[in-house]
Amino acid sequence: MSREEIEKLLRELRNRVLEGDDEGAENIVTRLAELRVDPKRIIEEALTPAMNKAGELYEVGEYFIPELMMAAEAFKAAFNVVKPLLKTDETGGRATIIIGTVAGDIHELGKNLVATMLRIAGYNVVDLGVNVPAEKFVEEALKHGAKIIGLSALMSTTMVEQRKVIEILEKKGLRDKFKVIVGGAPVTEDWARQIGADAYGRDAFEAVRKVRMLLGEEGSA
Amino acid sequence: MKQLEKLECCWVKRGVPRPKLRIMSEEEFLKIHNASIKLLEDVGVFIDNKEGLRSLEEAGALVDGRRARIPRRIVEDALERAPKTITIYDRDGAKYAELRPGGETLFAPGSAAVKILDYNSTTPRPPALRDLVNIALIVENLSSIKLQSTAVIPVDVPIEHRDSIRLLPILAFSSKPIVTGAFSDEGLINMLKALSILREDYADKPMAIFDVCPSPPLKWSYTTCQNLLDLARTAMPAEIISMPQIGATGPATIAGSLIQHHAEVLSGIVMAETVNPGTPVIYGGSPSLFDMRYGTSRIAAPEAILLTAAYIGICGFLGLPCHAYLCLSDSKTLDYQAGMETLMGALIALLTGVNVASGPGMLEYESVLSIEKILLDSEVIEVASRILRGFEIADETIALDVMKRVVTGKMHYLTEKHTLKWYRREHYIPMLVDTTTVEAREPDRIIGRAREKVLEVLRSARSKVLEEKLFSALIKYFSKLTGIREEKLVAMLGVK
Repeated sequence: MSREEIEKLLRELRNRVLEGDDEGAENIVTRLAELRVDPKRIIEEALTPAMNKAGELYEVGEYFIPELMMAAEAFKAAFNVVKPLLKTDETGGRATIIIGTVAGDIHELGKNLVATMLRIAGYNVVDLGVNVPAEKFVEEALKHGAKIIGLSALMSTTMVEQRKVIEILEKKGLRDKFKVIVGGAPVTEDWARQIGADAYGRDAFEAVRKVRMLLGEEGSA
Repeated sequence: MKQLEKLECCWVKRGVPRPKLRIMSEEEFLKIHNASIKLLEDVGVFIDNKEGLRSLEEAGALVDGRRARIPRRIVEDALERAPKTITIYDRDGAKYAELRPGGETLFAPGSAAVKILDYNSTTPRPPALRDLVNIALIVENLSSIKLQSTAVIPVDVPIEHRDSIRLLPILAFSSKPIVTGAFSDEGLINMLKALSILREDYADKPMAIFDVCPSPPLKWSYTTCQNLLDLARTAMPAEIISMPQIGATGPATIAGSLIQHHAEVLSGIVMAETVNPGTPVIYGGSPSLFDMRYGTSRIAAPEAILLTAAYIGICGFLGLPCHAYLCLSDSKTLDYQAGMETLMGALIALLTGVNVASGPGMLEYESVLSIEKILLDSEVIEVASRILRGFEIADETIALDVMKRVVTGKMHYLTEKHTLKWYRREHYIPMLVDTTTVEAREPDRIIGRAREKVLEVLRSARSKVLEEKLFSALIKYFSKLTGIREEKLVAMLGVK
């Protein structure tokens, strides 16, 4: 296959991701993998630029949240094909972030929004879903070598679960290993301070800014 | 459908032109209602509560895992059992109001704000128990806000008891009925216990309405479901509040979100009426528009208000008492947007005749309360009520003879006996709206006036203080529950 054709496929992949066409993106990326195109190149020349562009389009008011989330899903579909082909030291993204909605809470919209925005910002996001037991956050964070744990709670009662995760980290002597960011409708800055969380994200956009700050990347994006 | 005709006749009084609003025809209602039932039959609801599932299974629902599909017959049976009129009582046991389609609209402050916005501040702060005392006193002294609500979540109390403790300051200083809700299964039991300290017949003559909110789309969390079951068992009024975010946790279309909303509320009614037939249920809602740009849940968006007006219409057809979040704003301060959104909602509440309207005082997607805004919203309600009241057409109001006299004589009406008699009846004289000639063009003068009024009410507040014995019993109960010493609890309320 000629160089031009591969470049054409990469461009096509970028467009599919940008348009939120997950099936299309998956097909092209599978094709590129079959052609033994370097997975790193696929990420750097197609997937990452597509997400950057989606972010830009949002900034100028051309894209709204649905387009962004669909682009993120197409990115995820394509990335899942590429991921097994990467060498272990290439995560294809930046730091890994564990995210989930705490035990007893089945609300996922806010958490999904945060996950999307973090993916757009280039982070490797491991989404544990909803109703996640406190211990599980810690286990998964260790397993994935995560830098940050994100805890979502939408109910006044399930907020206490956020404190539980931090208590487990402290008990296991792991508190310094991870930064903890909390969010959700009833959650406030004061609550975050009270339970000893490292940051509070008022919304998905602020969550990304706070994550950057926690990772010492402020101003890098 | 028989209710419809009844509704028509009690709303319309001959010779009194007054606006009213019904936005759905019977045909349109049936289209929505049938689609909701189809959704319950084909897809069903997810219920994270074994007892809840069991109750539905007993009623004849098809349970598969944690999903229950509910056949039409069961929904119709439940609707048949649900009371068409709910009588609520004040704290002291006197009959206070009747909730029924076509009845009066009772406003209550919005509920469970996580922050409070002080006068002249731009940064909301965490609320304390003392704030609830002030809110209770203000509401007790406003005739346009007929119900109290557990409006903020006090942070100076352990988190497990922040739901129940809110009853204390309200019960201590006001006799108006309360719109409230619990944050956990135990929380509800604690709250019912607190009410039982005041009156043994707290369930027969309810002084409180409890909100239960399913989680869209079509899900019931363990806690919410348990609250509903426990309320049904005690026959306490449950306000089932579905809250689709149009475009995110509900379809992007208003019709779609309305159908989902209706199905969720129906599933709650089925559970309540199965556990205890005749349980008083109020059909409620807090739909919002999911803002596609910023991801916020705009409760005061026109689309959300339209959805609300539509389900209030549904309640008219079903003959059920209903509730809505109206008369509030998503703005972050007391500004143009706040006034615009609040009046839009208040008018819709009154025009549709919803029974309970939660909202006054609330800002920022139902998360921040301003005490000054409760005063301002009281004015909004008065203005909207004035429009709703319409005007009378009778010989005396037509006033032809007066006109004849004035037009051929002194050319003004100010000194007519007719004027003296009628202006007080026909004119609403504003409490806060600025009607002065140009003296000072300060911005937001009205907010300063609201602040003065707040201080004045708090200084001279008439409070319906609870009798000493009951107050002590309540203090004792909450002290034991929260682990806060009795003297400290009393001090936290600001009682000398």
